[in-house]
Amino acid sequence: MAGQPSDEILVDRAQKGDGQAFAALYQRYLPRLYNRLRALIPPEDVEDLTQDVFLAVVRSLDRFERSSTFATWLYSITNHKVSDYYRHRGKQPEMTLPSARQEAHLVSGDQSSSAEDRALVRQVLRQLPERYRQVLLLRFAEDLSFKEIAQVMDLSLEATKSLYRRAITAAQEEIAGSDKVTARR
Amino acid sequence: MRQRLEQDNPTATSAPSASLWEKLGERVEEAPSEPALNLWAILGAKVDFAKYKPKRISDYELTEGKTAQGQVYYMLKNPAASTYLQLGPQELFLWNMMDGEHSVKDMSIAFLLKYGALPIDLIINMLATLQNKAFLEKRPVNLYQKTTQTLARRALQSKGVLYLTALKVMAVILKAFFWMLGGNIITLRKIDQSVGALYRRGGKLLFHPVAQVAYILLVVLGLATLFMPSGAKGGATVGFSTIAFIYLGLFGIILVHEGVHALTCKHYGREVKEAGLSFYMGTLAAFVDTTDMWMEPDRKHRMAVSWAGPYSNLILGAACSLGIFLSPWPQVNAVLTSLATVNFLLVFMNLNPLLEWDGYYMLMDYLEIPCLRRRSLNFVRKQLWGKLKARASFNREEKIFTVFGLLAGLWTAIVLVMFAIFLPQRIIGWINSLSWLLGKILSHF
Amino acid sequence: MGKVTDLLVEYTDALLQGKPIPKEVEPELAAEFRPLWATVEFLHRVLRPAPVPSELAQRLENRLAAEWQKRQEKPASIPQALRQALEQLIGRALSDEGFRAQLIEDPEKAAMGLGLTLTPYELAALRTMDAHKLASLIQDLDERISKTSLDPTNLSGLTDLMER
Repeated sequence: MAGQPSDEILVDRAQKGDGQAFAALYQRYLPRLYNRLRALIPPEDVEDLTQDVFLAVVRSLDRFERSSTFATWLYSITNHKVSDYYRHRGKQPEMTLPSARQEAHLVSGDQSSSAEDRALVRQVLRQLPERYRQVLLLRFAEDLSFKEIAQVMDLSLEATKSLYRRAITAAQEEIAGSDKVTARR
Repeated sequence: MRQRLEQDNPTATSAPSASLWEKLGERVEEAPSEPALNLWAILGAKVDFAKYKPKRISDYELTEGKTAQGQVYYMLKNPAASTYLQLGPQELFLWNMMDGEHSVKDMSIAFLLKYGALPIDLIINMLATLQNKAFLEKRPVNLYQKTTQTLARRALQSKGVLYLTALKVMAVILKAFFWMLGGNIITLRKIDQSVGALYRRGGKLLFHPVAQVAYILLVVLGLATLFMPSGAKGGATVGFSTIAFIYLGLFGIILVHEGVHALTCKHYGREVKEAGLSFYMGTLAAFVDTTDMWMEPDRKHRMAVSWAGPYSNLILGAACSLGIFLSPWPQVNAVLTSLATVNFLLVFMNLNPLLEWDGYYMLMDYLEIPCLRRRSLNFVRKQLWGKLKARASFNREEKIFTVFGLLAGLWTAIVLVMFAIFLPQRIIGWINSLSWLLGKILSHF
Repeated sequence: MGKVTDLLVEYTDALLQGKPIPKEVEPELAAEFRPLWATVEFLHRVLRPAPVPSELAQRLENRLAAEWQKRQEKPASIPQALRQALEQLIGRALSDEGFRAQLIEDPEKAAMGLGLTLTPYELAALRTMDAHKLASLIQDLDERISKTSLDPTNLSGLTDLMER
């Protein structure tokens, strides 16, 4: 974004007490965080968890030592909140959609997205390793380009594309056989 | 309601806080059941405790609950070791800091600033408990084990060789005796998946509202016909088939009783750890381990799992009673009479809270006092008389511990004495039962 | 594998930017490509970003503004001097039980004993340390073993009863 201060400058100002700088960070990341959480948890809890993440950012802003990027730090907080969320919900019922129906979702070309589809994608994303999940969320939920994803994940563009392909392959396998037992973290 | 935990900022300053004692409300200062930790006397300068950075295990489960009095608590589970602990909010604050990055000194300072109290004893106790229950990753020093081993070794070394030999002989005898009080005979460890499959493939229908209504109707009808005359005229001749049906029926009763405990546990999404046969207070017992229900924050759900067993006996007993009323066949009624008797006996026996039957767990959950029995007996042994002598006032927990501890202690003593006195008769009784059964089988053929 | 990856990336970019699909897939790549592309289309359909509802954004802003205000009202971190003083005092208390008792009873004297001079704020923080033993709420939990007794003596007793 040309002409906009970088995350690092905004964080530095916010840590010194500049509320406007924090507001700018919030505006920048709210849509991305919101859509990320829409992908990971049931819709009725998205608002609460979005709030929780930003509150955690405010409260621990002074402890952010900038050894990583702000985005990485924000995603780390988000991951912890999502993990806590699922831990507190207890065990989740396994997906019980039969395979044929899952395949039908992929080939029907149906443009609408049902609650079942969303639940399936949540389940699939939870099963995937962190790096696969991250690249899929950045591309589909947060609509970052592959170049931007490479910067966020600190990879080369080629490595990012290759990671993306492996993530899609893993997701496809999960969708096809999603009655595996959920692995513990 | 989704339970949320906030990661507190331990390094933020807060104004000096009000007295913590008032904030916490009254708690029983229980005498510790483990040896008192005088770490410094035993470990000395070998452990630089201030710099120790405890690290919690990475795979754990945490749920939040609230007691009827509104006090928040947390349940912690180590799935790999199947261990469980309950924490208060302050312990959770410390737990959250146990990330391998914060030393005991860091934790103490942060705690002091947040709660206005010096938590050193709290941290020592907590670390030792966490370590014992396998909730910490690194174990530079096994705090409890080293302490207790050292103390025990010193105590024994002061006695003679004869004393030690006598101890060993006694230990063997006592081991057999205690096995008959509470040792396992057969244990099935990996049954959770089977129970889960059973639940998904039809077991969940038992919890349908229509089924619940049917149970109530059955119980009402069954109890109404309890003292009505039997539908059959004339007596029954007890033959081999009658005996066989009774034993099958008894086997079925046990299976249903334990089965519904397990299914109810699955109904609430928790894990059934193991099942099998064991001794308990000298009797043979079938068992199911539903310890994972501690992770369920709603005490009504936990109570439901315990209640399911005696409730199933009530329902089966009522069904038998109804059957006796309706059946015109004396042979059938003979079987149903036995089974009804067993069922109703099991209901009453299981609801007795003074031993660790289902009623005990229900009482413990209702009062929201884990380890009620152990803590009550401990209180009666170590603190009750001191408090009575000092004419001190008793808070809610202490009153409960007094009443329950005295009753449970008395009942246990009675059961143990009866067991010891009647043990030879029991053994003869078992032999007689087996030979009687064998006789019946042989006479049939 | 490189060709399929490049195709997948190109198609994904076109799909997410709303542009027409670039070109037909070569037959030898189709078998491998099609299931991956179906997955991409599915994920795009389900995960397509949505605008943040304005009411949600407003509620969040109000909440964050209040939190930011609270943050501004207190110091961002422990004053360095207090932290250093506490580190010395607590470090000593962790290794010396006698000093720990003195720290609770008379923090000023304990601090002077270590050669520290504390400000009124720091002393106030230490003085409110509770003299009572902190009640530990950590609690071991019983095993929950549901049992049914099947005393064999009773079983044969029952059938004896029945025979009569």
